[in-house]
Amino acid sequence: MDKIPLLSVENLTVGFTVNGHVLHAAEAISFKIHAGESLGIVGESGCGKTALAMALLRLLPHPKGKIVGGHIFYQGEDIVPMPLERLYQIRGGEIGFIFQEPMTALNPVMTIHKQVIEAIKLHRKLNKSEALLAAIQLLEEVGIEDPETRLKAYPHELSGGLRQRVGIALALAGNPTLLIADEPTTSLDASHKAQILSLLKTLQKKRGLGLLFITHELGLMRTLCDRIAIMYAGQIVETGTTHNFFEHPKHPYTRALLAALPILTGPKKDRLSSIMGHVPGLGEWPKGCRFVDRCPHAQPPCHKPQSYIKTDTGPVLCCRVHEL
Amino acid sequence: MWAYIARRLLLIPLTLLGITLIVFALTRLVPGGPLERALMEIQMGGHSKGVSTSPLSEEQLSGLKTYYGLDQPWPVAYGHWILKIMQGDLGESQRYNDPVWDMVIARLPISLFYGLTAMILTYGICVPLGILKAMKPHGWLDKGSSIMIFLGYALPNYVLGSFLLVVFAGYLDWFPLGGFISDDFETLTFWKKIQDLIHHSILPLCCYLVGSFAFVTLLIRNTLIEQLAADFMRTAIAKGLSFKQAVWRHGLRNALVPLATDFGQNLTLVLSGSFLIETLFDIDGFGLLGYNAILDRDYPIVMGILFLSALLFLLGNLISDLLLAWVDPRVRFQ
Amino acid sequence: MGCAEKKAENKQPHGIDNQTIDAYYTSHADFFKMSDPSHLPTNLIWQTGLNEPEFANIHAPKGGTLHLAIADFPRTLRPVGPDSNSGLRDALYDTNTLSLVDTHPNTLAYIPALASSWALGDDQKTVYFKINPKACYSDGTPIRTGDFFYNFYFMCSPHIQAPWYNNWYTETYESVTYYNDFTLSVTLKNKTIDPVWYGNLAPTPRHYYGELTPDYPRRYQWSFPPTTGPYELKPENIIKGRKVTLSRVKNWWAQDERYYRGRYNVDNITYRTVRDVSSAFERFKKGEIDIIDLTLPEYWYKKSQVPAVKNGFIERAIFYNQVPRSPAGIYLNEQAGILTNVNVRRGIAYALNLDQVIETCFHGDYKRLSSCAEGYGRFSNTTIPPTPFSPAKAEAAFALAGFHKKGKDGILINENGKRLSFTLTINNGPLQEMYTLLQNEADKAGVEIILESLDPLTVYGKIMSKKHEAVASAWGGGFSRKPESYWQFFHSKNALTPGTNNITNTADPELDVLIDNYITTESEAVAQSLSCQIQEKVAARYAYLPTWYCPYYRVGYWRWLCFPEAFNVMISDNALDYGLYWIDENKKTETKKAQETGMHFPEKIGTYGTADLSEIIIPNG
Repeated sequence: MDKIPLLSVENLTVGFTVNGHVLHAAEAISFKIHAGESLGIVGESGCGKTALAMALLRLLPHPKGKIVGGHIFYQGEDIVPMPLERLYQIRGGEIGFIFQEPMTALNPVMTIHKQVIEAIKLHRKLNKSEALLAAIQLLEEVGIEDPETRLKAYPHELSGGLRQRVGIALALAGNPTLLIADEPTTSLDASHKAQILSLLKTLQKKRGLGLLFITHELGLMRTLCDRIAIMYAGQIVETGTTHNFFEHPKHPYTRALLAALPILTGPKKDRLSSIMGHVPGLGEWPKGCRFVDRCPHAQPPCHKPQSYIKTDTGPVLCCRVHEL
Repeated sequence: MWAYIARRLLLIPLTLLGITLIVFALTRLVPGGPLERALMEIQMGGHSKGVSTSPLSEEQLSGLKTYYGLDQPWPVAYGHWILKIMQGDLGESQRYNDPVWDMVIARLPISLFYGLTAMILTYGICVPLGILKAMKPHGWLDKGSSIMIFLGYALPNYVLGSFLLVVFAGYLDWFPLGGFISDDFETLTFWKKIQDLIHHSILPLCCYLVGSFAFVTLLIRNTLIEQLAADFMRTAIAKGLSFKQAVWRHGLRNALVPLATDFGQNLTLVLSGSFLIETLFDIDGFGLLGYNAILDRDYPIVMGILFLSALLFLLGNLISDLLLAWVDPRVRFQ
Repeated sequence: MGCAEKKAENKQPHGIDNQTIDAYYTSHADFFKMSDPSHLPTNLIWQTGLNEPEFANIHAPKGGTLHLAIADFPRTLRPVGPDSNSGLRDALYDTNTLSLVDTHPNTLAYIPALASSWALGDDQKTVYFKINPKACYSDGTPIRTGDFFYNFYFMCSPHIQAPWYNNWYTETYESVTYYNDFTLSVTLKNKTIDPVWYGNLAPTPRHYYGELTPDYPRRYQWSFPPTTGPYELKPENIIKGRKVTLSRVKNWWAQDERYYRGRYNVDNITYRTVRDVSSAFERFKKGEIDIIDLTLPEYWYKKSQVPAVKNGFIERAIFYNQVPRSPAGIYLNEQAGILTNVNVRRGIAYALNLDQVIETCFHGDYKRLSSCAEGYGRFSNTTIPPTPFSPAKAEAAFALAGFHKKGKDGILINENGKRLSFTLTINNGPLQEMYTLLQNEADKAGVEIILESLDPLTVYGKIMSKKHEAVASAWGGGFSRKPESYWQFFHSKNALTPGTNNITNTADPELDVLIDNYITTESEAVAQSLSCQIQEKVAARYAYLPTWYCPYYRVGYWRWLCFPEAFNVMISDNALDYGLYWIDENKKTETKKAQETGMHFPEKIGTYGTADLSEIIIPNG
């Protein structure tokens, strides 16, 4: 643990301007990813996962979204104040990004060929034929059969699964060392979902990639990620290894999540719906523990501002973690 | 695709048949045709010597009907008209006694000049302006130009025209008071001719541009803003493209799609012209020809222009569709 | 004169078949009579008309170009046939053609034109003319008796597509007689008090048209025939759609004749198409147009308040003319619904607040029209007063017709509950404002006017099919010595007949008798008395309700355009009528120089003519 982490996020706060007020979508987020390591960030929709992911590559919608404070160190280099020229190299070249909707993430009026070659050429000095070759290899690598034909296709001519494979190929085109995958399987059906997950895992192993996997489906974590961070209402409430997480959950929210998880592979349903109430909206967060209104263990101290408490499995954002 | 084009091309004559049939029937069934116009001119003209005011005999009336081509029932007359059209003959103006084709061709240079110049200026100015506005929405350029555009758009073009005419041609005397070219145009050198043409055309062009200017600029601006927020733009930036590169390589092509949906209609500019602007600036173009033909009840001209503009319109639609399919691969021919 | 030299050139541009035309004359021998001078009646008193005063400035210099604007380019340049009533017709033909005689524009006496003398036959039907031997067309061809024969051939031809002309020439004339190349007589079908007016023909150049064929309208669409007048239009001076330039006929045969010298002075007159009125005014202000009409109050009172006027570069004139006034008015259909009742019609006449319209809409410049034939001197009945606006008198009249009660909306109703309401059809032109005012005022008298505003052609179609209730109409004018339209407007023969001008559907046996007698009487005094009686009778029917007329024309013109002391003649319709103006090139240079140096001239507004209406025309009889 002595060497510089691949990605080290420190105290990162992401804000959105709504009606002239800056509201925090993610607050004081800190985590690390080492080379070859995979971290899963899990949370319900609206908890700030995507805002966090976008912030990491400064992809927040301009001018509404903004990094309010904190640092994002990529191999010791802070992305937050980084000049744009360097940022362009990092985007795609060092950190690849896989998006949630393969349908809209690809340019509908450009062939796959053009989009992949463009990504390759941005970061690798290749001539036309080399780039084509690289593109074919890349598609093969992400498991697309008959890549020569597929390259000629437009996004709408491909199935959802194939499109997400192209999305992954785009993210890999610049030979990055870290992949950020923002709910890459959400819009896919079960069989494609499994295929994409195993593809990601294979690629990560093969290429030794660091992986930040963002999802609201806790179940996916078990096999894919080394470590898991749970996000709730803009904060990371608990971080730990995958094993500890499933075996020794600490935060009441984490427990509730796990309790809602069906045994083995049950029928697909919204797994978090069994927790009473719903996630408070942006700007409606309680002053103290943000889970307080839904927490079965809530006590008066919970209404005071919270800080991380060290436990044997990692830091947990809950004042009563040792009492439970 | 070829089968699709062939099918569309086959539909054109049928559509034309429908349109012309309806209008032809209307010209015959609506009261107040060319015969009544001729009668009125004489009868309301007062008691000048040499002109009798006693009612015309049946024979005389039917003679006039024959002269104005009204002696046959309209379906028969329509049949004759269609047969002539198929031989490439648009007929002859009843009032000018000139072939409609010749009158159309005589006006082509004017409409082509104004149509093409307006088109080039519209796309040449509006597209870049729209892009600039979209890249910095709500910036000073965006807001400033929007005020100008809406001001221009809100003014009817003939009001603007009168204003320009009085101020810039009348009071300031910078431009001539109308006309397409000077009377001594033929005697000028080549460069002087061009200068003369530009000198005459600036004010009318302003009027022609003012409407489409707002439309195209805002279309580009708004679609581009929409495209800039699209997911694929984020993908492009995440790839490592700069914002500008992403706009040029990814955003723009998508923003041009709505423009393509009526680009083919530029074909109709061959016959374009606004009667109000042409009246104001004394330009002998199609607007005036068509408007006067309707007032004059000169139905061969009305039908001829209708036929040509409907034909161009239908071809323009087809071209638009092909163009749209070309810029947007998602569009399929059925 | 130029005629002699060119005489030899017998142009036959369109393949003349003289035999066909001669055969036409022969086959109509009753009409085209051949005779010789020995058969001329011996008791003829030849008139020469040379004792009238000249009305032009005979010292006016020649030269220069006059720049004018026309609102639309003509569809054709033909004088006769479809569409020949264009905006250029006046300039090309009506004021640019000499016929056998002319009317002195101030004294109304006949003066010589193509004929140097004329005489009236005993029968009150025949007029004899001696053609001036000098008379020739603009192409140099001399004018002879044959050209007047040919005029009948031409005007009666079916190929000119103008049956109204065909009808006039066949209805009016009995025969034309050739005595020699310079002497002819014209015989009318009916006796009349003024045979010269009818017998006064214009020639048509046989050498130009030759035999007419069905392609006449097309073939002559854009050609200007040789003219008897002072200006010609050469083919190279026609720029279709944009401009025509008339040029003064070189050595025009009449240019030094009495009554013609000092007239038609400018060398060229250009007519440029300027379709927009405000654009034309801008051109005028720039000096691109020399003269412009300012009759409309808006232009006279407001738009002409410009520096060029204040600095005296542009002068203004108002000319009170003495011409027959167009019978503008509201025509009520005597056969339609409530309007069949004369008391209703009389009530409506009292319900029209015309004075207010004149005051507010016409700046008080227009005058009330009081009869259906005003401005004809002794033929006009000046004892008929204009009907005043009087809601009380209107209601009294309506009461006589059974409309006693007022409904909730203030409109009168009769015992059966019928409302006092009628539809007034008007043209959708600039006068709508005036009729709206009348409509509002009429409410005060308890009568509802429903305005129906249509385009002129539709209005025409409606009134010609006699389906209207009431229509506001102004008919074209034109000078004539005596009222000519009683028969077409008010004779029962034309009532309820579609396509005739009796749009009031007046059918009054007493009126019919008066009109018939008016047409056939040989005595001018009787005709005048009948004319006045007819007007009185018409007024009493309250079917034609006269509205207003404009007693003047007003113009603005650059100061280098000069006019005689009196500005123009009594019966002129506009400033350029009769060609009395000239261009002073020195003044032009002076003005241009003054414009550059900032010099001024005194502002000038001239008032001419006779504004006093008591000095009415008295035709010589």
